[in-house]
Amino acid sequence: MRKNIISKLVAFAGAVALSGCLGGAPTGTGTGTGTGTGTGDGTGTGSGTGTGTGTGNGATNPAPDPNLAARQIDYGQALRTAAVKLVGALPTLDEQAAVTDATSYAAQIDKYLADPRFALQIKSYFSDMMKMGGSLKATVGQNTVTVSLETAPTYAAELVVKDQPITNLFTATTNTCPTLSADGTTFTDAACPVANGLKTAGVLTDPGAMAQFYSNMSFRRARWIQESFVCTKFPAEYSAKPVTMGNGQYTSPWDFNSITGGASAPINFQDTSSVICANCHTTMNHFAPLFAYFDAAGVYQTSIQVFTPTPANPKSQLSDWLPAGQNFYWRNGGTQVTDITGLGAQIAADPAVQKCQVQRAWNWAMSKTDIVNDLAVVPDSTISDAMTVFTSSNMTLKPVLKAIFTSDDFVKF
Amino acid sequence: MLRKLNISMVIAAFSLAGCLGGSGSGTGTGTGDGTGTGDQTQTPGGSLGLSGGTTAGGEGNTFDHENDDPDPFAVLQRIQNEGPPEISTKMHSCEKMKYATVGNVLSQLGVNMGATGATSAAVLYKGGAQAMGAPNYGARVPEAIELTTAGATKLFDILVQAAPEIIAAIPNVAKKNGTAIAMFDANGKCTSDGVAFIQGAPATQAQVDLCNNILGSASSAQIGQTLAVATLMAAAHTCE
Repeated sequence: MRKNIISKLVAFAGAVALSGCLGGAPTGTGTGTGTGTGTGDGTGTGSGTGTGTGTGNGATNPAPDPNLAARQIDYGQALRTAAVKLVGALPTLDEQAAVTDATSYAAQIDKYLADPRFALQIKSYFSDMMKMGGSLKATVGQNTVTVSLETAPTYAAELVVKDQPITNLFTATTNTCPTLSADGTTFTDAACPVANGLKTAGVLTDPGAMAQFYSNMSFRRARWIQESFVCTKFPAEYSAKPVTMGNGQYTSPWDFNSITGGASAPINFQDTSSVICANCHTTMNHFAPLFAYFDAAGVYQTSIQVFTPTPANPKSQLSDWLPAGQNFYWRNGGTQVTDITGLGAQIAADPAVQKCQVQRAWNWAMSKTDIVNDLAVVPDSTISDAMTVFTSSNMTLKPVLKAIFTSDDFVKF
Repeated sequence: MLRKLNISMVIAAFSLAGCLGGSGSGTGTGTGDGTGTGDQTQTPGGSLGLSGGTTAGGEGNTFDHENDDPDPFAVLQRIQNEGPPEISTKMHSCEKMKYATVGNVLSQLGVNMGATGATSAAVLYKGGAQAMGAPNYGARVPEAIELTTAGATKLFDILVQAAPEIIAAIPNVAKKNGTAIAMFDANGKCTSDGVAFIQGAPATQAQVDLCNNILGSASSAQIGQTLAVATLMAAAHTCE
């Protein structure tokens, strides 16, 4: 009889313990007390205590993913992939033979990063990222001129090869139009042409970039900056409190009336009948006009060179983007800027821009699709180590590439 | 009178559509002498001439936006196949070998990239840029990341044509510790070093066995060697 009661108590205690474990903790212990009654050849009461332990799958310590756990280190395959990406060729037999462990593998990665062919490869990487390469014939008035689309990706490559902060892409004040020899051995510095008071701001004032992304109201230039360097499409900013408007929700943190709109506006950016234009344009319109002074050949002029797509296709006016009293900003709540140099400083300081550089490098190494066009997002948890390297190395990209190409995830297949 | 009025209404409707950007549709009927009533049905987005729910432009407006967002269902499908990003990003994917890299590799393996024969690997390569997804920066198109059927076909064609050249060139271009290696040994069997050289990674015994199996399955030794090299390279270089 007594034994009966104690069994129940122990079971109860065990159940308490187990239920705790199922609630999310990976391991648990429990104690319980209780009273019981029993029947048999008589009646009786009893009391007892019990303890129990249990284990369970809890959220605080999830089981390792079986696919990740199944990967095996394969330095031979890792070396092949690294060589193809970093120097655009297969590892030689001697290179293959020299790599036997993590140390020798890392040493070979260092050699690839120092190889002149790496300069060509990383330039190609930036060409794809910026959608720029070769040259472009641009027509301005009656003249057709050839504009190089090589300088911006070449400058970016030079920053990587020479261990300069990648944020110089937005802040450098000179020598942003270098050339690279065909064998990848020599960067030759050159300043981009400036005119009409333009101050150089990295690739933001690159003539090739401005020519390549010339469009109505310079929105294509704004989109290029957003997608290439922030790794997301517009809308770029979100309010904590979306507001239902027209045919959708207004999600931007900007004042809805901070951009041009209304029935009399050339373009009603406050239209809500189909999509909420302002979700994107509140951000875009606050910096796109800064790029409106570059003509179709990417030459900075003293007056606006882009057009507003309305009947007669007139040259744009500032009031086409912003109502009177509005100023230029990179982001809502940021510091007001007055020129591209100021904008570049804001872009360089944007944590999303910095992270984007590491995310793109990760996707490149791991052969992923495009982070913008294919939504091949990279979670923070995946690149946390690489981000640490990035920030501790003054935002230079070569150490990040070394960290990625030698990471556990890269060498496992 | 009625006919004249109806024509006017149609013209008016077209004019309106032009002003509005063209995505609205209107019907008008007129009665009486000089007065008419009509109703115009406008889809959402009509004031900017945008199609309902999208930012694509239409006839009569220039507010066109690129609507090239990925299909959310395709993204969902990918996540379902690959697993969540926290897992899938940690695993290698299969990016096609870049067009320029294919050229580098062929050259590295001893293919004469200056050859002009119509069916030479070099000519096939030079004419295959578009099929193989080379970038077209003039159109703001970067290098393709994924292999297409056309791209894979072109790549494999090139590798088949390149194989005899590679086999012949290996003793001259492939060295290990300064010593030339061969793709096939004295017995005509695949060598481990040869396989490692053409695929760019140490050969497993299974890969060497596969190479030998192909040799044994061909109608002649020469065809077997060509197929073996081309097959191993196709398998190795489908992905970066």
